[in-house]
Amino acid sequence: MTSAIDTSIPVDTGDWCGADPFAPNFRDDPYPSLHALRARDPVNLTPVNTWRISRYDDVATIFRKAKTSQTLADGTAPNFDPLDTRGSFLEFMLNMDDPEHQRLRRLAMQSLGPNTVRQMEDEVKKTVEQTLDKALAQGGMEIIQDMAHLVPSRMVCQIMGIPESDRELFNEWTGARTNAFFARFLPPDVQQRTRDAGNAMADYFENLVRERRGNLGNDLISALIRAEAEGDKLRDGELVVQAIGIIVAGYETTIGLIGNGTRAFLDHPEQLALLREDPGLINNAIEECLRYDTPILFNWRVLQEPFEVSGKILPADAVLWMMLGSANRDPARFPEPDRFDIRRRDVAHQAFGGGVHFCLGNALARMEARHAIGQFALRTKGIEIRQGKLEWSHSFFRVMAQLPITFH
Amino acid sequence: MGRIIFIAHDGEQHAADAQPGESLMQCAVNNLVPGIFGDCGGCATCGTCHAYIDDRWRAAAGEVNEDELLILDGSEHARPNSRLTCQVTFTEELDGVIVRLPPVQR
Ligand code: HEM
Ligand code: FES
Repeated sequence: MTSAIDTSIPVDTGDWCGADPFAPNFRDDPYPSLHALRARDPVNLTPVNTWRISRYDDVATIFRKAKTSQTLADGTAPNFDPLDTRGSFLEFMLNMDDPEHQRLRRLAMQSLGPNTVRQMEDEVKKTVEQTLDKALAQGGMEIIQDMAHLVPSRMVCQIMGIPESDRELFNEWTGARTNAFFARFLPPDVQQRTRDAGNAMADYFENLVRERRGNLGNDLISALIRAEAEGDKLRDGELVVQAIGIIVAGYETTIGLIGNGTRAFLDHPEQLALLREDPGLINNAIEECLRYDTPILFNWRVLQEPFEVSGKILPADAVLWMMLGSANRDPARFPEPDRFDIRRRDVAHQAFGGGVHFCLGNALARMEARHAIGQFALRTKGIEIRQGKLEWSHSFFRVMAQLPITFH
Repeated sequence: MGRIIFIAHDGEQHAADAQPGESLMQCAVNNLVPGIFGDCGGCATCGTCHAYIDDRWRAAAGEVNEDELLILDGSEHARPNSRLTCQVTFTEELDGVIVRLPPVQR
């Protein structure tokens, strides 16, 4: 007997398959459960009716070939908390489709492209140098606060035109605000904290924009204000939302890259020795850090028409969670995927997503990490490093709150 | 059907058969040419398909578009004949085109 119904698809309820990304301890070591999920159900219907795509090739194919949107056909954002409105990402470029998305992306790209990377490079080098001077004098450092957080926070605030005296306000806000991307599925207290951060950030940027209007500079906020002044290019409120989105996207993720990357080196002293011997490996090493411990474990797409993935036909309006952290450890793509190997020949990870939303800040993030991790390796040569107690932050991304180390 | 010659920074050559209508990036990726990645899948957003088009074919390759400019402008290895190969469509006029790769893509 033949049937049109594909019985391999569970129709009623899905299954986390032992890998519930919202479970409190999921971040401790998600990789064994992500391997198990990929092996058992690579195209997985979750209990919240979304599909998790775990294989590298499937993720890449969807980014490149599938016709997708960031919202459902009726315009709803599938992962956001419906009560989260002020300062929400509804109008952030990442939640928009072309042509609106393209318009916003081009505006921001003017302040985040290669010219900015070059302009910021000396500043980043100086920050890294100073923080390492201090650490070496003190006999230790807090990897997150003194490096992984400090470097991107200084840089993003400078690019955006946020005064240095206000920088610390964002320490709490950005971490809390990352939860907004998947807040529909988070507990009420986290939802509330996320909404509070949205309100606080909207207040802050509304004020900053008001002040800046009379005093334009060459920062990103000024660039957005100029675009707004040029006519219909930026609608009311859109400006503030892009600012919140960019600071969250540009700051939290990079803490993850520098923090997790440094930790990977501390856990693999032989790789640290390799990098010290041959500092030319740094570019490949940063790619390996992005692959080995990916800062954003998953992002999302919504299918606009049915699409076949590894033998399952997913319907239009299916919400897909692209498991970047799993794709980057897929043994079908990367031999010995759990090995941290900075000499790996093919490190083409998908940590920055893909397609039209491919991370706008990738060159900036890579440059920051190159200096932070590269200098850390060189300047700690000959020193024994001991790790203290790691704590995860309340960010939705894979970001530590602290990782103290001491030098001996 | 036509041909594209990709020349790596170290001089190694890869000749690939190309179909009219496909992008130079697509052709490189389909033929496993090392040094062209295409991370974003051809959306002019990642810059990992950057290459130099030999002068003889520059006009046939068309004008650099706005998205390419945003990625290339100011980038370390950009030159006057730089293109994002995902934005160049292969046509008969490009048959035999020589595409040289930059020292690094990222
Ligand atoms: C290691 C650091 C970073 C990682 C892992 C990362 C990762 C990502 C990912 C996964 C996406 C979504 C892509 C998609 O849906 O396909 C994204 C988008 C984005 N990122 Fe990053 N990012 C990083 C650093 C930055 C920085 C430094 C900035 C800016 C200063 C930035 C700005 C953005 C923006 C604006 C978007 C939205 C782009 C769009 O919708 O077109 N990111 N990033
Ligand atoms: S493939 Fe990404 S820019 Fe060409």
